[in-house]
Amino acid sequence: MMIKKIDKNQFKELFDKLKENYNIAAPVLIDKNKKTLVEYHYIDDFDKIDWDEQADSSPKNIIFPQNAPVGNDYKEKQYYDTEQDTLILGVRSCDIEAIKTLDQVFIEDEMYIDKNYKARRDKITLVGLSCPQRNKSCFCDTLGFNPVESNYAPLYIFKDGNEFWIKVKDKKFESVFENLPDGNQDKLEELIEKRINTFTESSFELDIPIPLPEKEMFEADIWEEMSEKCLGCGICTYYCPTCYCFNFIWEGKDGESTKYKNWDSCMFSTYSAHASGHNPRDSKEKRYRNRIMHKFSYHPLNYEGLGCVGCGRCIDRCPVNLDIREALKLTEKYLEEKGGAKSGKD
Amino acid sequence: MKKYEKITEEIVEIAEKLLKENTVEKVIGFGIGIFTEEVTPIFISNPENADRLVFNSKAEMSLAKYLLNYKDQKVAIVAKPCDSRAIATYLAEDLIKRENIKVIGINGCPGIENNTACEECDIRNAVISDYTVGKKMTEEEIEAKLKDKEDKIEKMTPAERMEYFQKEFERCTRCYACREACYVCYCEQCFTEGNQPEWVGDSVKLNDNFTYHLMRAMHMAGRCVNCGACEMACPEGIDVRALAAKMCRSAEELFDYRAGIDSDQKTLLSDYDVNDTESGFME
Amino acid sequence: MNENNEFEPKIAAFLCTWCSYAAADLAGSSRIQYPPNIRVVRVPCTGRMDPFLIIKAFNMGADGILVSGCHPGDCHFLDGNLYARRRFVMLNEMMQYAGVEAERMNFTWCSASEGKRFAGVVEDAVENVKKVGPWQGFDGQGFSQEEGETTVEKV
Ligand code: SF4
Ligand code: SF4
Ligand code: SF4
Ligand code: SF4
Ligand code: SF4
Repeated sequence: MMIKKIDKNQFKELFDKLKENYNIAAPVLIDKNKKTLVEYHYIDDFDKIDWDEQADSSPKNIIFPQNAPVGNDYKEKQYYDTEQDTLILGVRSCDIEAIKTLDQVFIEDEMYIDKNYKARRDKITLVGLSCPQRNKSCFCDTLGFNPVESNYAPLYIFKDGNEFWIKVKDKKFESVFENLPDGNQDKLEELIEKRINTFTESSFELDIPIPLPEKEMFEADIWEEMSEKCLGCGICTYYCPTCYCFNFIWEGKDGESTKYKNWDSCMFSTYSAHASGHNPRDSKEKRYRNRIMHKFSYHPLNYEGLGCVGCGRCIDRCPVNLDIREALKLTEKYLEEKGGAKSGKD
Repeated sequence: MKKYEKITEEIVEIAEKLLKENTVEKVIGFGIGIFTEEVTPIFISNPENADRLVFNSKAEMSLAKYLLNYKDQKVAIVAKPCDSRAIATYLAEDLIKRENIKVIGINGCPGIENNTACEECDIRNAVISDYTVGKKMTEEEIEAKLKDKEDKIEKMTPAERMEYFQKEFERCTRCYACREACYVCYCEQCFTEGNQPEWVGDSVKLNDNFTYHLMRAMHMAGRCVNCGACEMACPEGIDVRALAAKMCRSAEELFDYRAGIDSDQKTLLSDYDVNDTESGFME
Repeated sequence: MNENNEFEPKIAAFLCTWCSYAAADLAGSSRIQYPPNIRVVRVPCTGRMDPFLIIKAFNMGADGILVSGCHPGDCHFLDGNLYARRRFVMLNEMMQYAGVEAERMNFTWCSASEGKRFAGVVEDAVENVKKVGPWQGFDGQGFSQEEGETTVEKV
């Protein structure tokens, strides 16, 4: 491992150097007519980067675009074939963990490897950012993630005022950073320790078994109460960094059709509709139950880890401010009343 | 602000009474989340919880749509003036039964933060109510509150307008929150969901996004009550309301029609007059 | 484009079967010449015309539209066209507000005996659409957009 410590100007120089070999994306503040949002965008200018705010939309947009052509029935076509590698700068722990979840599903699962996803993912390098402060509704630490450090990113930045510490964890990148001034490892550990202490108070404590017991929770009576105000839009899933549901559709022009892999959302009423007209999830409590159960029961059962990283976006962006934490609290209470919760694995 | 607090107090009082006397099973209103300070719709059935109800400048959602979930129950609903227009339209469209609902109408609505529709609002008092809270605004007061703003899109050339909307709809992720937040959009199957015919493509291409917004706005003709819920719901900050609001203005100018003013008026497009205007037709 | 490299618009013409479609027929059988730019869609009544059909026509690349039904008061179904009239007025208002030029949208009435008038209407409609040029689609890309994925913009 290599540790470097540079100031803002040095980072700017580094950025300009990296720019030659990489497409660089980072969170930037964007004026969107009726709202101003922080989003991941490709940038040229170092000064545009917003280091302090959690991005309102996730880096999923880059790694797993909303609509992507995947060839058609007659020919396999590789759509993602850019030479240049991409760096995503300033990804916080929650989003790094989320990308790990996507990787689990699309690459690491040997049953199905998504070639398009993999081709793109191989070209993308995550540069993590130690989270400077809690956002108003995130709760990654409650779920057991470490906001100030994540091991899944090969490069990791710790920003302390105008100073940037860079942890190079992957040997592959050492040559890029070689000439920069070294940082003292103990000092950095100290800083990390200090920052983690600022995260101790969480307004949200949770004690639920993971995975959630599938059968018990499926039959629980909390879902109706929880989803009463849900509108059934796609916001919570589209802006969630881990939601990966997709749909294949064909779009045709001039006698040819192309197969697209488009985002879908389990909160849409047509998501589970069958061609026969039957819809197994025909009410919003069933759909909401599926959303929570997928994240806290089905995903952990099938893969490792969780399907939710606690980034809080679904809470912030929901038009009726439906709060996933309330659902988890209700779950905790329900299981407690049922007399001692058992995890779904046992 | 004092106004909001006063309204909150009155709402709590009425809701508590209605629940205690068993006049209604449920009160639909605004409340505060448990872990956040944000306003969120809440459904109260225990009179002891009535004090969770609030009204403040962030109560941006339109609650009227929830009435459709409780068609056969007796419920009370807290209604901003625009929501009361929505309820009147539901009654006009025969979707809910008047005897089943108790409307707690807000008079002299002080407005919602960041909601541009409020600057154009000249209703300000509940059009339909069983109980009222707040203080009725007089015509002069309403007049004074109206921001004399000319619509900036109206003044553009067609090309500029096209460009404006292209820039807006380009960002649309088709999350359909604007549709779900709107009281008009209660269709069992929206035109976006069918594929025979396929009115709009599924991918978020600008041509189709634009088409989606035009088609939805067409369904708003003579029904939109200019509440701004669509705009507030949009996660991409898109000017979603613009087209629907234009429909409101046109309906008023050309047909002297306003949606949701009366609970037994016919909707604009389900009616005609032999002498209707032919504005925009060929010579 | 015609051989002189002039713009020849494609116009989707929605004609009600009882009047305007018959008028087009009459124009044909009386050998009245009119521009060949219209593609006729026969509808049972303008009252059946979902405004979506018009928006969809633009979505799919029509340079303009022409809708013609029976004169008000003469509707085969008594008042179908009276309902339609309101719809078209509102649609027209909205489309113009969204930046679609007024010239692209042509609404009128033609009775079954007005073959001559029908030919004139088509001429006017074509003239109108020619004035504003080819329709570039709602995305302004002229229907040339290649297949591709949604990308995150550079800012
Ligand atoms: S964003 Fe909110 S309203 Fe929309 S589907 Fe999710 S929980 Fe429901
Ligand atoms: S479910 Fe909500 S909190 Fe969890 S990862 Fe998704 S957006 Fe973040
Ligand atoms: S379209 Fe009109 S009625 Fe519907 S949410 Fe928007 S402003 Fe309100
Ligand atoms: S957009 Fe139109 S079809 Fe879709 S739900 Fe709204 S009113 Fe119904
Ligand atoms: S809410 Fe906004 S982003 Fe979502 S579909 Fe409507 S306009 Fe598009």
